Amino acid sequence: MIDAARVTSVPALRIEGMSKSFGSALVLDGVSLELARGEILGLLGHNGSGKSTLIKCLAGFHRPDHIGRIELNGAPTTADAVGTGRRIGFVHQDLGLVNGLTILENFLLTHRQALSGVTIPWTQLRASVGAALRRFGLDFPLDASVDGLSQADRCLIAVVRAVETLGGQAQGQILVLDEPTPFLPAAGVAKLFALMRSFTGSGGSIVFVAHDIDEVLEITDRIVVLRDGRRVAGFDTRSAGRDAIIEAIVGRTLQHHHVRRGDDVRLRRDGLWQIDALAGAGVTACSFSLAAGEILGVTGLIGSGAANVPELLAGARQARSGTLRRVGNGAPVEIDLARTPLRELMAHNVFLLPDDRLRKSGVGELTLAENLALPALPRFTRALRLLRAPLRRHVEAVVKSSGAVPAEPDMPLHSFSGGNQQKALVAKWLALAPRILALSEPTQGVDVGSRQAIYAAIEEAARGGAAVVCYSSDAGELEQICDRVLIFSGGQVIAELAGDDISKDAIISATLGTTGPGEQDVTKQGERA
Amino acid sequence: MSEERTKAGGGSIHERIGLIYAWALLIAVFLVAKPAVFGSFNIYASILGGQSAVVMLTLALIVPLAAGEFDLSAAAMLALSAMIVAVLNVDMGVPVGLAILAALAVSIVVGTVNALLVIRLGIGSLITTLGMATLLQGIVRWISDSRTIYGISDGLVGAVLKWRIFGIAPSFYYTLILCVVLWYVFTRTPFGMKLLFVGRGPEIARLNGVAVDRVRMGALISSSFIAALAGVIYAGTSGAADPVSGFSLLLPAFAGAFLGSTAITPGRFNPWGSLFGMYFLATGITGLVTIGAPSFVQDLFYGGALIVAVATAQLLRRWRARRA
Repeated sequence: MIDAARVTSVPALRIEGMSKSFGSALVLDGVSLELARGEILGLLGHNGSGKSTLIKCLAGFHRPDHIGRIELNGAPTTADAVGTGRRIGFVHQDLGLVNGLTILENFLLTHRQALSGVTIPWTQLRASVGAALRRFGLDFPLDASVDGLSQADRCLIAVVRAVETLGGQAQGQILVLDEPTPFLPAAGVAKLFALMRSFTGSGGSIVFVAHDIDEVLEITDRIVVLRDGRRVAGFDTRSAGRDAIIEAIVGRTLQHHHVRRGDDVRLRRDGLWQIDALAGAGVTACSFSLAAGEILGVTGLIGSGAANVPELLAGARQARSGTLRRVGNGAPVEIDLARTPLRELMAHNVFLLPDDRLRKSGVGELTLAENLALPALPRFTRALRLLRAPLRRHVEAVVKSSGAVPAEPDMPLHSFSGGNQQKALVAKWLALAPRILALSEPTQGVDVGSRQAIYAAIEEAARGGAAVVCYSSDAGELEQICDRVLIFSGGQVIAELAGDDISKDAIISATLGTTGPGEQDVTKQGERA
Repeated sequence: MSEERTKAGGGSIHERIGLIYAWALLIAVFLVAKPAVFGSFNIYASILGGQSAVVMLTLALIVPLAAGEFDLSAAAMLALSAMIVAVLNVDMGVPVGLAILAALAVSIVVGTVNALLVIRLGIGSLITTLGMATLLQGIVRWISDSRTIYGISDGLVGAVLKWRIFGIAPSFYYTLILCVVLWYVFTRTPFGMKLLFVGRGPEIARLNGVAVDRVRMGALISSSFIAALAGVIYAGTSGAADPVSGFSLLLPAFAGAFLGSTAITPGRFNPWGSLFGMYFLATGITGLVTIGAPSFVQDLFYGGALIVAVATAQLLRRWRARRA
């Protein structure tokens, strides 16, 4: 054994020079990290900073391409051993609890020892789980189903369970908490923090991944900021300033390639839409206008509600309240979003391009032609009969205009690359003359070339008179295509950027800078709905 | 290679008609075994005409199967429909045409109840229709006093069985017509495309404007209705309705449907595939009976054929995926 004096000075985890690339994209570029015993380390970075790749490398989900050195408690090891050996406990945002099972059964799921025998040692398991919870001052009925628990309690249970998978002792152990807080109410965050302190107080160490700078300032000892795959800053939390942290996250982006701003020629046609008192799915109450010909970005941190705006607007999720009115020229339209299903909104040419391509947009094993024909069916139906030849011509025109390659409509959708799938699925809506086009992460999982083609298609829709609403977590994307950007927090619009004020930096700063402690309550509560 | 990749649900022409090869091979084997019987046209005419009820039942099942739903009550609906025709026509003296209409009306009610339970209450179709199957079985016993009712009007028996077109009983042609109608619905109507999308991705269908629940409802009512048509044919084939035998058609019909999904349009439930699949099975069973195989061999054949076909289709798919 190593002597006690040395143990305390040896870091729990040390990583030197970890790199990882996907194809030609270098997402982790020689990142080094040191986690001291009993320390809570905040890991910050915006989308695409390499933060999640780093966590996934530690969890054994990705294998790093290169790693200079990795040590656990001073002992050199390999990334594979860390990833597969359950040397680090992970709690991801979804918590990994299985609904319908009891608390005890959920503990069993990750308990390798208890599952390895012929019979399950229930009595022993019950005793050890009860003891583990008590050690952290928690008391839950172990036979209660996890469904009924509050989000905060579920989170606490997930954390204790992660500690249990490490053997139950905090001393010398490491937990990675990957954004567990966005869906917690403020009181829940306080409970989680108490649990975290109790764990580090007993000699454990925590890597805390979060977006909320105030939370990070409150709970961590040190902060590491990643940007573009590199470690760009390290702070001692006590002496770190908010602004310095935000600046490290945002960086100084020099390129300024906004294409369409102040192009108000397009803001015309059948005028203006007004969305009032939109609420539901994490949006508490928001009102905004939307002009035909405009591309309006909506964004915000996880849990801000922004991500759900396109689906609420298009009727894919039932809103709790909200009206969509056309106030410009043309026949007045008023739609109650709390009552109108997507199908009826589609009849008003309100279309949605959802975020999860192969789960929400198209069926992979059906052909491209079939996928593109689906929303157009009503237009090509006469007396229950499909007008096949005209529909076929329509589909071929959509494929052609989308620029998807190969232009083979009869190939199954999943045999196309992600970028080509998305180009075609965007074109599918464009061909139906959208009045409102609601997009969610339109270029997720799309290669750079296709991305530009999709931006061009969105522009074209706007030029054709569509009012475009686009949710994206990629500030650079919003900078490039939007005329206006609404920043959400706590289910509400907290800032609006327009014209020359739109820049990647301004968008990121606005999403980070405005979640003051006073607003935190609203932020957290809003998402629970 | 390229033509294989360009057809979704695809496969080569040989894979598409592989089932027909297997059918031909089966007939060849029986020809060698019993040349006297299998050399004559009569045996084929009797298979094509005599097995039409179960083929229709298979066609009934593929409509909800395409939409991702099971209708386990279809065979019970067939039995109920046959029994309604028998009870009304024989016991109560109702003209057979009216009795048939009554049976079809009941099937629409049954299908609607199934659909409402599945859609409004969100109970899985497997459970709903399992319960419905047993319930209908009870009704069949009740209205028939558990007797076999003989003597259904010659009008029906004649229309189903008596006269011949090219030597084959009319029931075969009814099945053929139904198959053409379903083929048209599956490939030439918006409803057919919607079925496909609801079956493969209900959420995707909904987000593209499909009224998913309406499609599911249509599918479950269709299966009940077609099963009732099959029941009418079933009653006409024997001129009688018995309270037991109809129920045993369920598993063979499912076997035919799954077997059929490996042919013609591999990977999709399709009417022609189902028709060939079920006639393939019927040929095998008839042949085995003819050559005097013990009855357990029939089970071996039904089960074995299904497993071999589905496993082959799966292996082909994997093999293609690896090459692609």
